[in-house]
Amino acid sequence: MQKKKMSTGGEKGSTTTKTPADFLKSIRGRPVVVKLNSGVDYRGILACLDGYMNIAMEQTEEYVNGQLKNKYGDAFIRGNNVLYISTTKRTLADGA
Amino acid sequence: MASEEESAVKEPLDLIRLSLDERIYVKLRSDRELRGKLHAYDQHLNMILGDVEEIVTTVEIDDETYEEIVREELLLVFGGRLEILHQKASHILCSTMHRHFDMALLAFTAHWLLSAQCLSYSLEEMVSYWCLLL
Repeated sequence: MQKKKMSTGGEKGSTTTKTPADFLKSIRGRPVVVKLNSGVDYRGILACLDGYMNIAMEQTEEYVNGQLKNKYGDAFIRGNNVLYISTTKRTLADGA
Repeated sequence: MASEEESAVKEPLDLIRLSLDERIYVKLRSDRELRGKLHAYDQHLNMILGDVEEIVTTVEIDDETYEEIVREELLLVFGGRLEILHQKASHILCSTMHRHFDMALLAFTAHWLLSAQCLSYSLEEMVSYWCLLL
């Protein structure tokens, strides 16, 4: 398993350099925000994802224009629609 | 894709497999939604849905009041009968269909799928079935 490390200009706070693949591995099980190209937001617990950015999430909430529109138990998002995946310090109103 | 597969890691597609034979809700582009029973899917997310409804949502702005009129149009409900399936397959599935698949092929295989009650086949298996018939 060989991974190319991205070179960083200066030493920042983190002790290890990470690739995007490392990031994707590290965020499983965490609360995330997934923004689609269409602008719709999905917040939930990341179950798993793959190299195509296909995403499976639990306890998913759908936000359109900042407004909560829908809640889904489990959600699968096709990767071509994904603009970004971000971790969030989300406090769950209903316990996980 | 170079896959550094740790066997404990599941792919999102694996989780879709758990939904086979269950009713699912699919959100498409252009404000379309599908609800139907998932019979088959593949890695492109081509899907065969049965007993399906398609809902199209349009929002019109009234010229005077600037009120949003949200119309939800139920385009199709069918119970898997062949002729309707054949006519409507292209309509129902074209928005999720990968370009390589021919509509006639798809309609045929969907019919085969439903009539044979083979509910757990991937589209690849259906394509090989079709090739056998040629």
